[in-house]
Amino acid sequence: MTLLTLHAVRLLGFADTEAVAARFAQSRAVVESELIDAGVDGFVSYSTFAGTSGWSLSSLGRAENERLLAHELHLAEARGTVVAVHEEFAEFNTGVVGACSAIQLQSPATEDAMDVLIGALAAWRPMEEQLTVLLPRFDGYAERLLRALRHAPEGTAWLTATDRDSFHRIWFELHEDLIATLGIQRA
Amino acid sequence: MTTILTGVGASTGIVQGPARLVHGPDEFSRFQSGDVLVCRTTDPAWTPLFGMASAVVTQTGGMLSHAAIVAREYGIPAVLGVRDALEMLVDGTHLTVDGAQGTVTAADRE
Repeated sequence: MTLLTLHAVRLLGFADTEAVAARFAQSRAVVESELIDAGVDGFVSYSTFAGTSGWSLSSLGRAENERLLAHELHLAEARGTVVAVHEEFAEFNTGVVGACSAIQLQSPATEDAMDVLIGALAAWRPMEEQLTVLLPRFDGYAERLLRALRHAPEGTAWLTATDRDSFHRIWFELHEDLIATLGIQRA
Repeated sequence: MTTILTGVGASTGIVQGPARLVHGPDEFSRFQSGDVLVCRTTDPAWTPLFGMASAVVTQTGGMLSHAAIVAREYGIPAVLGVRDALEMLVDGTHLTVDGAQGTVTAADRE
């Protein structure tokens, strides 16, 4: 079992084989084989929710994911960097969640909310650059966030929806990635 | 007799449904459409449950949390930051969740 396959399931939460393979640009055949093995080990399960089928991590799989991440962090000597990035991320996270809420509730602050999201992306870029030097798998978040913002004029769903790669969905995934990498619990 | 718990009303609406206490992904398969999701916290793995839940009650979080945003996207009431929800509520109990007032009312079992 490679770290990337298990971690892709962790980040996506619930996803089919295609999506798990695509998350880190892995071979579908290899990932499918690894997921089947992980199922045998009790790390993942395949189920159907509301008409959609996919893989999700078991508690055992979550523990194995965190064991592999801790090993990766140790080998890369990256704990200090990730801790610092997580702290800085947390400062922007409050603003992003507030901005997404304002957009959903169509509060008067909606126009300012876009500025907050643009600012958060600008702040994240150097953090991603710092991280990817040590942990290349963090590459791509900034690009995806930018794509979501570029789609925003088509509708606010690109900022807050769960059925597409919206700004909030990406940001939520990034938050999960940082928490998982450090082996800490969501507050 | 009823039990009323309070938290932060993070997504509006009033619904009634059976409490489903979920402690982790291993218990997702017990979840049925229309259940009220009661849990400690959520992460991306929990998002599909929001699509089946009639309402969400969490022990952590508040108005500005990822769970609040996801609940609003699904248009279901959410009461977040209900301390001890997993200890105070009983699986299967009939709940009324008011996402505007931030209350969770449980009909006590006889």
